Amino acid sequence: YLRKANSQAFRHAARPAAARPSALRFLTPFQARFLSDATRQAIDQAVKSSPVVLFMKGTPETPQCGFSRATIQILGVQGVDPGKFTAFNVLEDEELRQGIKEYSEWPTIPQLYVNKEFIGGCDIVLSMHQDGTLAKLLEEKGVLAPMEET
Amino acid sequence: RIQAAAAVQAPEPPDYLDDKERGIFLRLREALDPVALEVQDISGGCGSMYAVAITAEAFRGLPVIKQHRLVNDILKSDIKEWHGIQLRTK
Repeated sequence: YLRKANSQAFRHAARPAAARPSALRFLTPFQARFLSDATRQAIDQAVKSSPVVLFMKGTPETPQCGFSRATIQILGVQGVDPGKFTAFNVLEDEELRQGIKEYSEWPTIPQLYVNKEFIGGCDIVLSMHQDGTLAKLLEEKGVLAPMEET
Repeated sequence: RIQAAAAVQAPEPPDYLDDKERGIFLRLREALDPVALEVQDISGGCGSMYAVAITAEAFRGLPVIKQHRLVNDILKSDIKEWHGIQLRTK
């Protein structure tokens, strides 16, 4: 149902015509911990790639973590339009995996963004799902799949 | 008189907490002065994932995400070592 997690998009969005900057290789571990401009820009691109963006472990078809799976299931139940959704698999890209935690100032994966705004992780998505605020948010932002005509 | 009131409000760490759970419990209690607090290792005793539930006046008026950020900040150095955290705040 949901488009395959697209870490390729993450790399294509980030990479200019020249090769990916290898500057990271020369940074000391201390320096490398801070979010580099290149990584920040790449994540900016990822976050605006679709109205609904999920940074997760694994893919929507094959989540690699219970919390990521739960979040994908909730988005499915809510009826998010697949055409308005992109998932990024942090397990395929260590730079993304660490970078997204600094970018969002949030220590765990999964992370849900709607219209470039950070919504939260699994706990928050689950409680918003249960109290109706998630349905309201998704509807307001116009990201739900159209109802089928009978 | 003020001290007596504080003693009534602040929850005591239950006996069944292991050392790590107790450490987390006490740190959260000190930072947030909660009226209700639960800390549980949900990684089968491995100390790699915790379920935390906190009810605190400090959260009043804050959107849930800000409440969670507050807790993330307090437990920052622990969370880095963990596999995950399950957080319920109000």
